[in-house]
Amino acid sequence: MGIGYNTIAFHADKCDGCGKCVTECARVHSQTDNPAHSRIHVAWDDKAKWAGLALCRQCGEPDCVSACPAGALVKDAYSGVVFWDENRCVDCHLCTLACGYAGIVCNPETGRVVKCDMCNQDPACVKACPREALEFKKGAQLFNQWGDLEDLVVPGLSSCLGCNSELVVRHTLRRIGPDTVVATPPGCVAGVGAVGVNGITSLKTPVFHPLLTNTASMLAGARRYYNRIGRDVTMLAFGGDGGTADVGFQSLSGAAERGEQMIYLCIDNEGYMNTGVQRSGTTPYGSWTSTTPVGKALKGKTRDAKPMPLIMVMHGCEYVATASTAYMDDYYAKLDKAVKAAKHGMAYIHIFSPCPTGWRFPPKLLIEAARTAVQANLVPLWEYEHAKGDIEFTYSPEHHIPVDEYLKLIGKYRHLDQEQVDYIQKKADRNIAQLNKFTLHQEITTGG
Amino acid sequence: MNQNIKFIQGNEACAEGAIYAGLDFFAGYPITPSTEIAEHLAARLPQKAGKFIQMEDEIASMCAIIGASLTGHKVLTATSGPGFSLMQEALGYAVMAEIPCVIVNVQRGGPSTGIPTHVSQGDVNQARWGTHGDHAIVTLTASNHQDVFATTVEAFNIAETYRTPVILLFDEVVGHMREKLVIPEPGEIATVERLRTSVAEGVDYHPYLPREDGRLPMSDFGHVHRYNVTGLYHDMWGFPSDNPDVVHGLIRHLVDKIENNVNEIALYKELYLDDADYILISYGSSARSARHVIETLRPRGERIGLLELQTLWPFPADIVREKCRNAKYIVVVEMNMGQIRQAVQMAVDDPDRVFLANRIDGVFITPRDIRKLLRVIVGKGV
Repeated sequence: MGIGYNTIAFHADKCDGCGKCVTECARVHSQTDNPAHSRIHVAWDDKAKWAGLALCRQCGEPDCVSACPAGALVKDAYSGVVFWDENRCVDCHLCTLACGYAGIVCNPETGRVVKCDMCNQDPACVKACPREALEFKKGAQLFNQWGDLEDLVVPGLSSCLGCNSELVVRHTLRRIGPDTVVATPPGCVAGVGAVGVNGITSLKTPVFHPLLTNTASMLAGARRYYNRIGRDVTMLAFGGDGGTADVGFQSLSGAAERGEQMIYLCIDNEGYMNTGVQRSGTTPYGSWTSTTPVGKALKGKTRDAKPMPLIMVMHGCEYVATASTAYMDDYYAKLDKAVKAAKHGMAYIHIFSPCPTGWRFPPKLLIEAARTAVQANLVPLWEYEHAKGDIEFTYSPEHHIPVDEYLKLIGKYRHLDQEQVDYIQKKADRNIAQLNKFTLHQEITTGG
Repeated sequence: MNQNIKFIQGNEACAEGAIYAGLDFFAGYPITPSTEIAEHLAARLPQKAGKFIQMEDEIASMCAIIGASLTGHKVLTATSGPGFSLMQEALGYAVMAEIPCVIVNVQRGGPSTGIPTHVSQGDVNQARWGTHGDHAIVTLTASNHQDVFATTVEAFNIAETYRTPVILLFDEVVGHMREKLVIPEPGEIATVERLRTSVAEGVDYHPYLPREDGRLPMSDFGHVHRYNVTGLYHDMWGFPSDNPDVVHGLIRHLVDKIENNVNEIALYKELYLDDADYILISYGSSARSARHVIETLRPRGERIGLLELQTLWPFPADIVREKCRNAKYIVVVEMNMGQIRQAVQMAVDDPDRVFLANRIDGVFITPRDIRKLLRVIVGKGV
């Protein structure tokens, strides 16, 4: 695999053309607020409310570099930034003609070219933007760190378009590696081909397809055997929310109490998606499912979701964490800890898994849904290490957005009335308040 | 146009039949291929002021309907093979405590997770002997949606009449197939209501003291009479007992109340049996293929007939023996390894006449399959 670079992303829909990024860039690079010195420029059409960004893309094959006759422009292999050497530059300005993005331009004050150097991987413009229209994407670090690891899931799974479970399985196995026994009970992960069908299988690890009632028990048996013969194999369960919180709960609870050494991963898509969208113990209040219908008498589920991660904390697991695929670096860090913890006892990770098919939203909004649910404090990201004894937030719930921002993305909440939305907001605030009681290091206030 | 004509799945026909019979409580858990029963009732029961609960598993589902039935409701749960396995302990409890309830098992291929979206009739013996200990059980089945509806109503009637769990053993083809159903007008099919005790409040009520006709009037649990319910052997008050006479008396009662009424409970259909040399015995969706074979071969002069069983347990042995008396060949058509074939062999006088025409590969048995096997069995081109 190649190498990935961090990049500055621009969300045109959030930009209002205030120009603070321009001023800040000029200030950082010239100690004046003269926009001529800025490396970033925003074209703003007030009538059309349209924003265009002129900023160096740090191209993979930069035209400016090949156009430069003096060798003054060089793409840095480590950071990916195209650097300009002012001593070599002959001020021919050919590069400004070669660039199709107005990313390298002539400063009329000095007569020399200016271009973005990404402020040594800490861009000032991003920090200056009040509306988060500019975002510094650091996913490249993840790619560079883990990209070369083998993908233990073959291409061509029969999962639905935009399946989050597939994403979870791929990334989890990439991190945990091939010396793993995977157990996955009947459900979506098994259904999309993880267990295999008609002579083909999608996982490159041994797969144990236990019963819906007892994934944790069957893994416990296998684990004890490996311990006895002294082989260090990771036991990994991909449980759905039904197989974890409902029918499989008894065996999971027993295994946690006995401290069985395994990683139990609950892929929580908030219902029985494999049998056609029925409610489960983790389906949140207000959700439409085929067994919590919406009509005159009923308005979706009337009960709250079972707080599985907290229940597992109370079991005294070695490690418990929540995760979301919108925050992959966070998830990888948690997997690292889970692998270590599983050598001593149970590591439980509860990963939020939006389901475009069952929740009725367009697949392209998958990561958006995974992100906004976290930002709305509906899926707080935290971890618990038994040795420390408290819960630590890994994503600060301090600056949260209203739950409405998330709910409006998802079709299964389409019918909600204001009263129900208010209830969900209150519930989210209460959940954070409850979690705060388990934190020692932080005291975070929510709401007003 | 008749508003009562529907084009629906067999699972929905079963749910509608249950509502017709007076169902007002359903507890269940999703499992292919029975889930549509739960989904349909999740929408329909609240409209009828009934109660739908989705439980956390099949054990809970079965136990919830037992509880609800005791308080005076007509109850149903629906599942498939793996879920039916989980229900077995509580099913035995319902047998022992004599609690009317109806359990639908829309069969899929087993054992274990098996082949969830394909057809099988492999749970016939599980329905009979799935729970431990000597007991009697009632199991009904049907091959088309009109019969699914009618046998579902009948299942509730038998459950109430004999205070027993009744198993409805459908299969994936019947459950998922769509065909016409005419919903009968109220009263068109008789429904049996719960027999409640006439013992007044404040007077001793014996929940397990049969009347002269053998029926046990019930009192809604927790209402006006105080009594105990247990899965232990118990006396007429419902108190646990290890008195040999009581134990012997109870097990005889539990078995006899069903086995002595085999012919009342037996439902079946027959086609051209009077002069048949070859008799096909079938039930559930495979009976559809058997019927097709007979309707094809009869016009060609083959003396072939059909006995379609709708009551599987208690096995209507006398009826089968009588109907098969003059047949040269008795061919049991089913999608398992001969579970009803065995019962037929035990029932008829000359068991060497009994053959099996089956498929056990998850594929529906077709008329062509049956005719191929008939050629082998009979030894000529029928």
